[in-house]
Amino acid sequence: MKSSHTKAHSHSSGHSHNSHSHNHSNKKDILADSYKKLKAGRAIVVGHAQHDMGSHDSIREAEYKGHKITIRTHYDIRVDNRALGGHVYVGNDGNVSTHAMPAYSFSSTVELVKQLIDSFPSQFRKRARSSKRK
Amino acid sequence: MAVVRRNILSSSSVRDQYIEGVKLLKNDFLRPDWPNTYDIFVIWHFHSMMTQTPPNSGSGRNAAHRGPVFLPWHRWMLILFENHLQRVLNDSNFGLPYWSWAADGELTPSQQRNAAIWANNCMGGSGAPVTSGPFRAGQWQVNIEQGFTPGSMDPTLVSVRRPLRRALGSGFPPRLPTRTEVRNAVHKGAPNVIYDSPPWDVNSAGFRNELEGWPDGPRNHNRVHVWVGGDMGPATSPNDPIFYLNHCNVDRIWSGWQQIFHNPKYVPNSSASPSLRRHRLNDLLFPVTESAVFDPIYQGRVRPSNLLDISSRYTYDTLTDL
Repeated sequence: MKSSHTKAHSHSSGHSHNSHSHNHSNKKDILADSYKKLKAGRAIVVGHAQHDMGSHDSIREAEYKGHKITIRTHYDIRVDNRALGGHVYVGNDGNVSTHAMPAYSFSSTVELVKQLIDSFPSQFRKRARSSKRK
Repeated sequence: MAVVRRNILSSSSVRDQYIEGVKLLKNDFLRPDWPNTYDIFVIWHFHSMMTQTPPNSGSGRNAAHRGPVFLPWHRWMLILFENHLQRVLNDSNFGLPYWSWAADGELTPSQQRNAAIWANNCMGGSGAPVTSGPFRAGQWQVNIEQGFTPGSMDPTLVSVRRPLRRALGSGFPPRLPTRTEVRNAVHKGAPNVIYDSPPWDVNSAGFRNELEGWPDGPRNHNRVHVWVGGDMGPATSPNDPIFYLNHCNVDRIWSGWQQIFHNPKYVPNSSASPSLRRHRLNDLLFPVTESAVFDPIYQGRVRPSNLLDISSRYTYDTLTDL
């Protein structure tokens, strides 16, 4: 069997990655800063969650017998008619994963969202109530 | 002198010390502007996982997972955790114990959920909240959990006060990895084993990705997180003390692989693409602080190359099952 050199990645749609501002220098005191926010009842928002709203394209790239394969997948996920943004990563085996459940992988994005609902029910209960009010 | 890391089921004194030690860390404060020492590790793990490498990585490769640094980063984390346990226990000979989950993987699914590791005198049982054992409600508090930005599945970190949650037997199929699965990961490609390979992520061939558990996953390390479920699921998984017993076993398997195959080289090396920063042989790993108060060993400045030979720090009681 021919081996293939592959890579897979996704990009957020509508966002310029050149403008990302993740802190990679670690020069600030992450620990003290985090604790201060937590004590004040504020959420710590880092990485993709800093700027990610909306859905994202997944782009898989692979090389096979001298050919370059590119597969772009766009996700528009809704739960209770409300958009659920964030990253869905697609591996070259077709399995999908997401930051919120870092050890999980799923053969279907539907299963991924079901697991999110099971794992974080309060997140979705709040969303259901606010949908009703509207 | 090197300490010996043992199977937690083989020594009641090590088991009891571990339980005592993690509880002491929950009430240990190194600085007034820091959380308790136990929770520092939770925050560190979350930040490392949310730090994409490179920043615009679409593969999900981050500063501690889904890439080559998975094993050395967690080795560093365990060395520091063990160091703080030794301090609060006042026992420099204490070695972090491990949970040999593949041994339990040989049991039936029902037996796995009722295995000795989950006994009342060990890690306690399942539930939301956990109601038995030393980490049951009232005896153990989760202070930090994963939240969400509204409308997004990308996580944040939020303050909370609640008991520990577990859902033993989660996932499909609902069983732990077996010894055969672990041995397959260790010996894959033998004798020409490789640590990792392009594209250096969840699609890579090599030992790291097999042990982390992405191919046909979740398997091995990943499956253990999924099987325990509850607080072992999100990026705040160090909230559950079983996290360290899982990762100590992962580290033991890496040590066994290194020994069996005579220290295969770590890749990528220093000349690899800058896009692999935080994963190359001589890159600094992602710290939570460079303070020697938290990291008296490396002061937050350690590289994979510093963590390949750990024989002066610790050994494992056995590697024969690998």
